[in-house]
Amino acid sequence: MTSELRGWLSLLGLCSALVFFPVRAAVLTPEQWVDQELTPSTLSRAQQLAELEWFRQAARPFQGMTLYVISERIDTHWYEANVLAKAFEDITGIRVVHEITGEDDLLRKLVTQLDIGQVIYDAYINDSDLIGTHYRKQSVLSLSRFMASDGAAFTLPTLKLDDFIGLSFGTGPDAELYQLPDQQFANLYWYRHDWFQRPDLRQRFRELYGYELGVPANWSAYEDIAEFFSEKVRELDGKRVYGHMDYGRTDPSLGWRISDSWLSMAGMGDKGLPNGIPVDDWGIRVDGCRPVGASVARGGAVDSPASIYAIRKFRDWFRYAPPDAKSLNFTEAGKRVTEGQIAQQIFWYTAFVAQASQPGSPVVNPDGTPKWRIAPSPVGAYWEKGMKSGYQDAGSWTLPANVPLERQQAAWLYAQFTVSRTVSLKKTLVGLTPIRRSDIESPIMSEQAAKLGGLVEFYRSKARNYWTPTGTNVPDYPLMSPLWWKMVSRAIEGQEPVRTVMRQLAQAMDEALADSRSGSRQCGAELNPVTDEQIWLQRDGSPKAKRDENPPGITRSYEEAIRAWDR
Amino acid sequence: MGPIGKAWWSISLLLVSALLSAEEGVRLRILAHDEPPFMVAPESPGQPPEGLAIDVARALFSEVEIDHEFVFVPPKRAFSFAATQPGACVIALERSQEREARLTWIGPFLITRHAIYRLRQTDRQIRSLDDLKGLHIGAALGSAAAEYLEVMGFEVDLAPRNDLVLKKLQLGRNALWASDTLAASLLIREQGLSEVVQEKVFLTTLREMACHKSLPAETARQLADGLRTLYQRGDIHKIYKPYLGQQGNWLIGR
Repeated sequence: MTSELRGWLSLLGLCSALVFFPVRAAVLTPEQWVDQELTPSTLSRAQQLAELEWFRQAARPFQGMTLYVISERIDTHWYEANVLAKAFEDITGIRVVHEITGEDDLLRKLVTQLDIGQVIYDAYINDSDLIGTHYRKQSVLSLSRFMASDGAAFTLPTLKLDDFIGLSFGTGPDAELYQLPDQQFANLYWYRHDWFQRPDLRQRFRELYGYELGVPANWSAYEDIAEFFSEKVRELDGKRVYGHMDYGRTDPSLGWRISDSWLSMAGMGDKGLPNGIPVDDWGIRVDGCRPVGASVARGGAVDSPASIYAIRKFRDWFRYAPPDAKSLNFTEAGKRVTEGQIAQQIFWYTAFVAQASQPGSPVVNPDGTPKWRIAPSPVGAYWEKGMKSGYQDAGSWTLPANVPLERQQAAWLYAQFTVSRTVSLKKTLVGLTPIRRSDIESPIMSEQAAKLGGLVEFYRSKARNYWTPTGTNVPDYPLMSPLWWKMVSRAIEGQEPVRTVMRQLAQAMDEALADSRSGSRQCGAELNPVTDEQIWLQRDGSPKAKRDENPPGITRSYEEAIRAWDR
Repeated sequence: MGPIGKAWWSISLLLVSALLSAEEGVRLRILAHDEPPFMVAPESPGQPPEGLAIDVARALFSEVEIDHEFVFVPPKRAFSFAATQPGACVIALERSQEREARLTWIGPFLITRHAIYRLRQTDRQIRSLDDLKGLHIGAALGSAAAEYLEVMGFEVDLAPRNDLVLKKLQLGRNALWASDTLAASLLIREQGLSEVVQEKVFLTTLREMACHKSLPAETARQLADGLRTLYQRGDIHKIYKPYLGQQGNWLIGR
């Protein structure tokens, strides 16, 4: 008998107890939750009820407790805060204050809690980009150890960890799981498929640029298409249109725009998954698990020609974007494509798919199918096959070590509830940030695929392994991540040349790596000595010497583009 | 002295102290505004200011042995003074993406929960923010609760002070009152209002001391280390205690 089957049989045995569940006024029964809200599911109704009964029994010691958890502001977490927290309370008697805030505020609260030792929240849905920090500082629980010890009695027998597609993102170099994915979204290329199919536009593009209008495979083609729509086409159906959309306001989300793999999309790092070995997507070189430098002079790539090229393109392409794009942040810019004036966006978070699929939107057909598609992001002149292709955000359950044990156990129950198979397919359909293989492969997702513009195809392909979060090389994410927006903003605002800014950034990164040593219990940074940059640039791999940054543009049909995901 | 008199007195003191400090050594001017129970301006010159944030600041400056003075000014002026005048710091501000780059931050000075309150007899269940849709929510102008709810798309009826928002709840002009829990419990306690009950916590904020960018890095580090020590030694808990009233659990508790 498999362990999974044993788990199901034991859960089904508990089901008979459900009839005795006390019902308070305005409290729904598990059956009502399953029938009225938690449908569809990849589990049968009986299996769902069995899981819910397991939660009810496991939560008995904690009835009456109020848990505090926090997550960022995306549709998936709103669903958890508004619906799943209520369901959990009805079923277990544990009340949950599930707060929603900006990612920078969330990070600040987590850092504060760990720094001053004051418990503010029982659990955080924290991006797995912090895995390198958590692994080194050991200030959050190793979930692997917790599940085998104090959390064993509170670990859902049917949690089925091998069903999670992003488990590796929350796993440290010691093979321990520190963060359990709650939602995932990628940044992909977004474009108006209907406009790209128009014969008049296709002919005009071919005449002007000498190749087909299609999904750009490289940044040269992206730039041509941006210019085409913003400066040649200008108006479609009486509306001003733009060939590019982005955001550039001086705030923390500008940092993520760059640190979320932009430099690696340009080709700055090395080949090898998940982040590039030995130089990763932040431009940090590692020796084994030890970071040894970010500047080219120490073997890193933050100030390498590829990084400078990436920032220049990011800055220069604003000329093809709506005039206010530079003053927008992540949240404001993400929704912008739904207004119907944008032809393409190279860096578009799929967390916004749900908003871009709303019936009645200018970018949705009357039959509910989208006028847009998402496709593999075009890559820059330094990119080579075998390198990561983009970024994936994996907001993941993270339990601080300084929370009292009984609260950790209760919080772990809520965390598992929000990712359990009883709720996960419904949550996926609401927020479109899938975490489980079983949900992605489900028939209902096949039915939905036509309305989701390529999202299902992406998550069913091997590509999901090439779009990866920040990895384990970044030893202190809270210390280092602000450097991106504080410094890159100087180049975007035109205060200093890109080359100068990237030099300063590389130096600041080296210093931060050195500073991070004091908080690291393992795999601490050991900086390489400063050497002649040419020695590093002449070697194979990253940092790479300057090359032709304007190769001919290459485009593909949508069908060819998404087939590339499976190669 | 009324609020206008207080403000003039405070601004005069600020200008005088700005002139004085040019000739003195390191002395930080801590700009505060009247916001009970966090900051309460003195009724007249010579009296000490009061409040939770003031107590935290006093404990911190005593810990790190840095000379300081409190000056009460209107909130917007406090922010602009701190952003433009060397040696000035403002308490206690929430960090935001807009403010982040303009000041040097030391915190957390205040960690507070914010909740929805209702009249006991209404028996209205608020279990999530979704349940607030279509309801009249009152909140104090400039409060974190008001700003958060507005950003989230709720219509908030703003009043200049928290006690006025409470009054509207009592009169039935608003269905709900959104407030930080410390200020709310103080008002409820002071007015003996057993009919006002906390319904749902929905937000936690960290508020910090924000100083002029020229604050030396060494001084900023000293202040941050000092504050950490106060938390880790349990001093901050002791400072909060008299402000909590019946609300025994400050942040996390059963």
